[in-house]
Amino acid sequence: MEPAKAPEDVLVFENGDGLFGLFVDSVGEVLHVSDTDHEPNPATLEARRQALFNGAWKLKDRLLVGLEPDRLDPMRLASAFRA
Amino acid sequence: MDDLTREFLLESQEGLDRMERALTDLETRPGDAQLLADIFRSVHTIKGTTGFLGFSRLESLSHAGENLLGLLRDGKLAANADIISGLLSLMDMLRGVLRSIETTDGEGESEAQDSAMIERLERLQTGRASVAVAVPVLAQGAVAAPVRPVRPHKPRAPRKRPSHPLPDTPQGSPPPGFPEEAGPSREAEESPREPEPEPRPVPAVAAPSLPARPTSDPTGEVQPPSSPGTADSTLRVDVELLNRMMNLVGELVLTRNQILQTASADPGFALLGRRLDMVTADLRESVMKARMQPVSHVFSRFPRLVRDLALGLEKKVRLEMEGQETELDKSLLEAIRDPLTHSIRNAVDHGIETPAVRLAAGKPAEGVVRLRACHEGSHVIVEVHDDGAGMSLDRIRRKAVERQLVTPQRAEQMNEREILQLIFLPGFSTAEAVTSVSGRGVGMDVVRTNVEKIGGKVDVESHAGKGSILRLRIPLTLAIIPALIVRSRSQNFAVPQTALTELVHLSAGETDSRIERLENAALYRLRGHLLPLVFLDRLLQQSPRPSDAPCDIAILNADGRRYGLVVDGLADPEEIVVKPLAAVLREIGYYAGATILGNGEMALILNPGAIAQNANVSLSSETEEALSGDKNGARQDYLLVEAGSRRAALPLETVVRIERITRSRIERAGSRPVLRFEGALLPLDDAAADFIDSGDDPEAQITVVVCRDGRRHVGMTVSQVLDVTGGSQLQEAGSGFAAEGITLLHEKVTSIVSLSSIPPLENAVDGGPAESAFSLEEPR
Repeated sequence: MEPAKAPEDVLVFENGDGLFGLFVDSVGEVLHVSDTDHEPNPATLEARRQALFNGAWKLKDRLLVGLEPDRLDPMRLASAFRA
Repeated sequence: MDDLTREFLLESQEGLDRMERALTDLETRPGDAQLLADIFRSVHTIKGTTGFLGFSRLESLSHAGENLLGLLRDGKLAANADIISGLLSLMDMLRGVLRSIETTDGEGESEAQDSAMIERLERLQTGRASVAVAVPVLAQGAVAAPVRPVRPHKPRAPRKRPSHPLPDTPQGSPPPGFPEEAGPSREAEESPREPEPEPRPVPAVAAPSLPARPTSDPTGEVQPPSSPGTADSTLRVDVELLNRMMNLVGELVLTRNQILQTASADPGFALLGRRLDMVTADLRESVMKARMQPVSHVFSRFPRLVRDLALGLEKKVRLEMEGQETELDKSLLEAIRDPLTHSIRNAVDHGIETPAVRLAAGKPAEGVVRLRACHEGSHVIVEVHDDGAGMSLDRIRRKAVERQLVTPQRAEQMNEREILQLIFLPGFSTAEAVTSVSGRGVGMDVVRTNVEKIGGKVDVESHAGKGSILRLRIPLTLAIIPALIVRSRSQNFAVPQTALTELVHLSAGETDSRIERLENAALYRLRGHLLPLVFLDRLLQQSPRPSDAPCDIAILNADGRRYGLVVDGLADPEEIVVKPLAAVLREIGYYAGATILGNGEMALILNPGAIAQNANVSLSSETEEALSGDKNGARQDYLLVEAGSRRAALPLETVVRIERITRSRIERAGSRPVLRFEGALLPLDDAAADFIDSGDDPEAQITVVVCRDGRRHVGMTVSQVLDVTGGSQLQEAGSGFAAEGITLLHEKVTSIVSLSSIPPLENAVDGGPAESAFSLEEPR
């Protein structure tokens, strides 16, 4: 990965134990997605991404990866990768 | 081993097979005199011949059995479970000795066992107080006749001439009124064609060479005379020879393919080519038929198996068998023997509950295991159905997680179908306790592997409280299969048609946009669902193709794993002859074999299952569900076809196959166009005839869509198959009535083909020229 040059955006999540942040390049837009367009991770996805992604939403012209805040929790990441 | 002994072994084993069947039947019809006579005869035959051949151990064992059977036959003793068990174990022992003779040429020594068995049989004879007194005398009487020297039948002769050697009677001329053996005619019904000479399950010729039994046999009179033709018209053939014939026919098919593809201007040559084509097809069919055996050869051992299991587990189980006459290639029959045995064990052990539990659940105490075989297209379906408790999804899920076969999260997401598939994973077994019968953790995965090895499929269905069904789908033959030839980086590969569900073509501009990616996983959106893609060029590490080049996606279903195989292009579907692979290629794992194509090039046959496994494609369930979900709604999927410039829609679930054939293969029965297809006659709707000018060129290609209409199959000629697409139902403005016979496809009103308007074949000859069912009016 390229070292970050510009100041990054940080998404802040709150879970039961406290807060944690997720560095992203930028925030695009806010979309409303429907559950009917959601599909679980394809089995062909490599294992590491299987653990991080929570399926995808089928938008009209592209796929939108779902991220599961629970799985991104730094405390749980380690266990997620073991699974 | 000399011929005489070999012959004796063969006959005895056949006799024992018959006896086993008869014994289990006896359980349900304990008083059946004919059955008893059959059993008696089997044992008696063995005894008679052994005395002559000097197998003393066999003689004393069969003698003891005969004494008991004599009592049963004469009605002095009634058969009960104990007696039947005793006789069955006697039979096992006799089998053991026969095996020992076969392998070591000697009977083997087991004095203690023998005397224990003889004693057991004697005890059974005296088991009933009422007959105890009569026993010695009766036993004497029953064996008196056979003890006299029995004239041996000549080792080589008896095959063709059923002779009934009697003591004191010249061979081959039975006295008038000598009761004919029941064997030949009964067996002839079961297997009209003489199967290969495998030692055990060959019934048809065994009976004629049975030695004599007392002419006073009471059952003799009621038995129908055997047809004299059975033994004369059948012949034992070495399996090796049949294998070789099959290979040669395979070569011939290849040569035919090549000849047919060699373009020739000479019309005479084309004619000869077509004749060769026909003769080859017929020959191939005949050889395949010669290799067929009725499934009863495998089924016949199951009554005993079920009986023994049920006794051991203290359950009441009845075995019902259906479709025993269904025929299957011999090698495949052998291959399903173990998987079926295992499935039946499972059904009795895990499926059927104990009588108490069944009664509590409001079911009859006796459980039923139904074994059914039938033909379906070019497959044989064998079902093992039990009316037990069904499989507990929760328990399967729990076990799978416990055994770390799936992660708990994944298990939670799984639907019923996926969960049932878990039982096929290696190392899965739900038996709470390890029984002697099943539950050792090897099981359904072995069943599946074995069935897949022969190109079959296993499916399971379960209804809580009502039982479960295990369905094996076995191809009729392995040697020649229909396949689609695909190309990847100018190399040919064959994809078995059985795995192929549909094809998608992406033209140059579309490739980039239609293939979507979730990070590194390529996906294709097929009717709204994401389908994982596997690139054949990358999988095989061929030189990569430019990413915007046109390509074809072969959508495959390898035992529930659905994925799209991306290839450069498609060639024609072809009948290919499967050739075994060299070890070097086999180890790669992606190939099921190799073949030579009609154009003389070589092609490797891809193994869709192995590719799916390698690419990590999981069992999918959503597709079937999605389809069935759609059916409930107003949407249905249609095959969009074109004849000339007009389009029509065929309901997708009726489409069985799409074939490309030469026009000349279409023949006429009366005025009806018909097509000989997989050995049956297919009524055709030659809708494309009017649109394609092919009058002069018999080699013109035409596409035939084979559809299912109720129970029959019909064909429809079209010039092109365009697409598979979902259609919405249209409603009449105002009334809201659903419009029949038309649908909305690609935003165009399209007429749906009415298959039922294709007249059935019985009307084929005298029926007038039928109108086309393919009402191809342009949508108005």
